[in-house]
Amino acid sequence: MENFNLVESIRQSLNELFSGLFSSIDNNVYALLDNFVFINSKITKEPAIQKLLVDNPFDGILLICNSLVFGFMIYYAANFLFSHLIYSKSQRPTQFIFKSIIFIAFMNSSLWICAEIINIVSIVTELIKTLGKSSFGCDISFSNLITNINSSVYLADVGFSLFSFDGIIKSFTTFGLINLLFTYALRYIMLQVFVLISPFAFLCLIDTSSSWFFSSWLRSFVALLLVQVLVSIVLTLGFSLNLNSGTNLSKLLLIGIIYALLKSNHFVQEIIGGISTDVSNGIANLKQGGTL
Amino acid sequence: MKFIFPKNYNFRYKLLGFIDYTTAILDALIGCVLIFFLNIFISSIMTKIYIFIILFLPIFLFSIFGIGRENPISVFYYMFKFFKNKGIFLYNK
Repeated sequence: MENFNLVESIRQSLNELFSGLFSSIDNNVYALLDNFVFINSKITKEPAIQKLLVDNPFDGILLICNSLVFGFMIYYAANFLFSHLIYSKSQRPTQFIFKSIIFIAFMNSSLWICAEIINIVSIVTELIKTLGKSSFGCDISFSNLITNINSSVYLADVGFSLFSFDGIIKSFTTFGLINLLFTYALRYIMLQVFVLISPFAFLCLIDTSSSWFFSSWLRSFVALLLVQVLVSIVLTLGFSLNLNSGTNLSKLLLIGIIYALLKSNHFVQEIIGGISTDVSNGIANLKQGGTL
Repeated sequence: MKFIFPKNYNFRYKLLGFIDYTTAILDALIGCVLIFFLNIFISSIMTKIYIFIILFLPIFLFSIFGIGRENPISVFYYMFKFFKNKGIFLYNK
């Protein structure tokens, strides 16, 4: 009898502990996740970017870029001279000057160009979310998704039980979404980095030998942005599931939705290319390090 | 290294796969000299950065891309040899 009481009290305390942990995560994390995933042009108004990419060409990153322009001009002049000495091919001076004028203008307004690219992707995302809202009658967001999950997992009469199928689904969902939070926090930072290096990318278009840098920058930048379009589609699909029915099938599909959200970054990378912001490998390595 | 067919290309190990060691050392040397002179003549850090980039970038680009895709040191060496002795010698068996 005493043994039974001990096991029951351990079970209850574990349930209470995890219930507290999950509700604390629910209350604090998911609103942040919405801000991290659905990025709009406000990202370009962050203080770090404003400080480093200010409009004054004699300060910040634009100073370095404008000095690089002069460096490129000297390089072109010397290269043009050598092309006459060693009979090698070089682009015509008029072509170089024309390209320089265009790409220097692009370089100096790179922040505006990046903000507009982000704006276009943000508008597409909002369009998908609005479509979802009109179809399923609720805002397409992580906060609402987690409310739906909780309503199906936390049953009013039973309460939360860690040692049940619902408990496993809830813990998987929570840890999956925390992993998602780390991944999208990294994506947010990487987008800021790409906005910061955008003047260099535009500058590299001046010379044909360095134009590859622009194409890799553009591919990575667009791939990072397009992740939010795929996430909004997956989330909309998530809201189409009737989680309140409480069937095991809908709960398993919910796990599928969480997996799709976790892998959306990887899918976009496979389709378009660019860099990976998946932190699950890093967490796995940390785990391995912990067991050693 | 033994070559079965006649060697008609340069075989040089490169630092990070894009710049050969002699050019990298020469670049580092030029960079150090530039920094030394900029430290003597200019006090503002921004002006130092500005002038250093303007002067060093063309040298660095030549080191990476070369002159007509040839190593700039070799090009200058052969140009110097040619200007010193303009006679062209043909190899005759």
